[in-house]
Amino acid sequence: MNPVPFVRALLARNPRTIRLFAALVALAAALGIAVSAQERALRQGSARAADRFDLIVAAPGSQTDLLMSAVFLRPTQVELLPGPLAHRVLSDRDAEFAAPLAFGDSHGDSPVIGTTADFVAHLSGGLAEGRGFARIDEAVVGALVEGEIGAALAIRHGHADDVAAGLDADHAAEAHEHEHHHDHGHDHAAEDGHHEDGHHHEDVVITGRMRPTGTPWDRAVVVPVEYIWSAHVMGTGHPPGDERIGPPWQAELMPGLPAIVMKPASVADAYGLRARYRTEASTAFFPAETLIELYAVMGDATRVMLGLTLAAQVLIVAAILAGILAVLDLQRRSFAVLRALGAPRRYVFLSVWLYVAVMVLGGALAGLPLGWAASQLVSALISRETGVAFAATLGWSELAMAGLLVLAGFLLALLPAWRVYRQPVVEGLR
Amino acid sequence: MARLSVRGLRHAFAAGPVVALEALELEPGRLTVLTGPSGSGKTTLLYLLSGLIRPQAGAVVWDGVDLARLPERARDRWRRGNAGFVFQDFHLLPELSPLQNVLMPARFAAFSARRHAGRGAELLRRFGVPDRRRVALLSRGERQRTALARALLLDPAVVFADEPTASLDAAAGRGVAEALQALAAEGRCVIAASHDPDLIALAGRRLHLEHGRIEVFA
Repeated sequence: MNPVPFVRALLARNPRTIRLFAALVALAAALGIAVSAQERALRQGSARAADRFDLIVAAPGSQTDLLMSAVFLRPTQVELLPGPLAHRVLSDRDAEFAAPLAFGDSHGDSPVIGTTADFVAHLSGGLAEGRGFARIDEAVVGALVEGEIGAALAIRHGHADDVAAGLDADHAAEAHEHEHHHDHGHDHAAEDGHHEDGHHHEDVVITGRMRPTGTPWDRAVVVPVEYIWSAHVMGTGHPPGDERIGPPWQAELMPGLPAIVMKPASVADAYGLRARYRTEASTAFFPAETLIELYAVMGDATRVMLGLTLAAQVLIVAAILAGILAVLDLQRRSFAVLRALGAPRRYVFLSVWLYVAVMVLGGALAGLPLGWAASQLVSALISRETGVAFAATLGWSELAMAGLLVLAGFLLALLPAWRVYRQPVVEGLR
Repeated sequence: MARLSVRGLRHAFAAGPVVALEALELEPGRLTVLTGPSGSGKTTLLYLLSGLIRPQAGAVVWDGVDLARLPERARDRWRRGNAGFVFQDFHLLPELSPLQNVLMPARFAAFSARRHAGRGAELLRRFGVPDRRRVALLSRGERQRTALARALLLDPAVVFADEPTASLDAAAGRGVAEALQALAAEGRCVIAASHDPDLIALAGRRLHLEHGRIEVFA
């Protein structure tokens, strides 16, 4: 028995309809694949972004807010860790290293982050060009920040998003002055007459560019933490006149900090440090752990999305099935003629099943690259928005999803096949 | 060589009795034409004789095989091995070539039709069908002759034809009628339902039906 020539003829009979059905299957497959691949890309991308942040110590507050501020450089309000305590954390000998993070200023769309040269090296694994900052008015920029080595960058008070949204940084500063929030918690330089322009700090000069990290830090301008402190008239952590940057700082001169990143020497040290700084005065957490908690919440949303996707796929398949039944009704005479010529029932059954199966398989195969392309597009859009590199790839789960759709299609193909199988020959010939 | 013997054949649809035939004997080597007005039961009788319809009563015996007693699968098999069918509207697959159409019956039982390709090509030559790429490019007469070649691929002893010339012009119809007569002359039992005077004129036997009954047996 060989139904292939007959199936080929059937497929060639209504090529537009066949292509339309296959395209609908492809869309159904692509929808599921895109959602699944995108969700994984989001998880992997965000996890990769947090990879270099082993332990974060900060003032008590929302860990999610701190995660968003320190890792994803999103504008959130965080309390300052008091200077003496920050000094103790930074000097802790159980950490391989500890780096301060200070934020709240911006250059164009780029957040300006104050930290140490060591942390820059830790984050990007060396520089792509130039050298690290050695003076308070020097900066290392992320891989995606525009500007040549030696160029001066104007630094503006306030986060880029606030500035873009038209918020007055000074007013914001005043509004939060009494709340001891980091970015607006201290007198603005302009209020003390340190700047001609009330919204700007001193320019910094680019001395180096980080290697791409695939994180929002690729869009950051990284300056010595002393620059941020100084711009906010908090001192530098060093005696007056001392132009050194970086540790050690003097405990009694140490300004507050919104966050400190610690790299413990061992797993035991990591848990020890977390316990040590999880007190009434400070909080300590593993960003990876906080992300996992977020994923758990996201997981519920993902399940809902996948459920909706599945419902959409079922609707599409049902619509296709109805269409196929209508098309096959128009072909009933062809099947009856085959039977009159001596074709057994199972021949027409197999022919119809193959006819539908080819459409489903073709559609699903086309859906794989389509879904991949859709997730690439969404990834690019989200990456542009967040700065986090999302690499959407087709994995086993997407292949399994497409396989499941194909399997469901093969099973559903039994319905029209069974219908034609049951069709009386004489009725078809009339 | 196939000999038909029909006894006490009765078959009725919901609308009323369609075919009632007490007895009928047909020998091989003759072209038998069923005539009669529309609705007289010609096509239904063809379907009963070919096993497409199982009669409610009576026997349709071909060389000792009573189709009326066979299950559908066995009737399919009998038709595949013993009968060819020609329809008024050809019912070819326009997407395939004439030869691929002719080879269709061979694919019902075997994966490859290669064994029959030579005979298929020979039949097309015999009926003067050009070797075109697609059936859609053939004239109506050529299409019906392709259908004839398809019916003959497995060398059946019986050929059923339902209004085989009704869709053709006079010249093409005459050609198909002569071809059917020639098939009968080869020793086949050829049974055709038709209104075509040319085909009727060539018939070795004519059965005229009125309300499902044979009125004239000539």
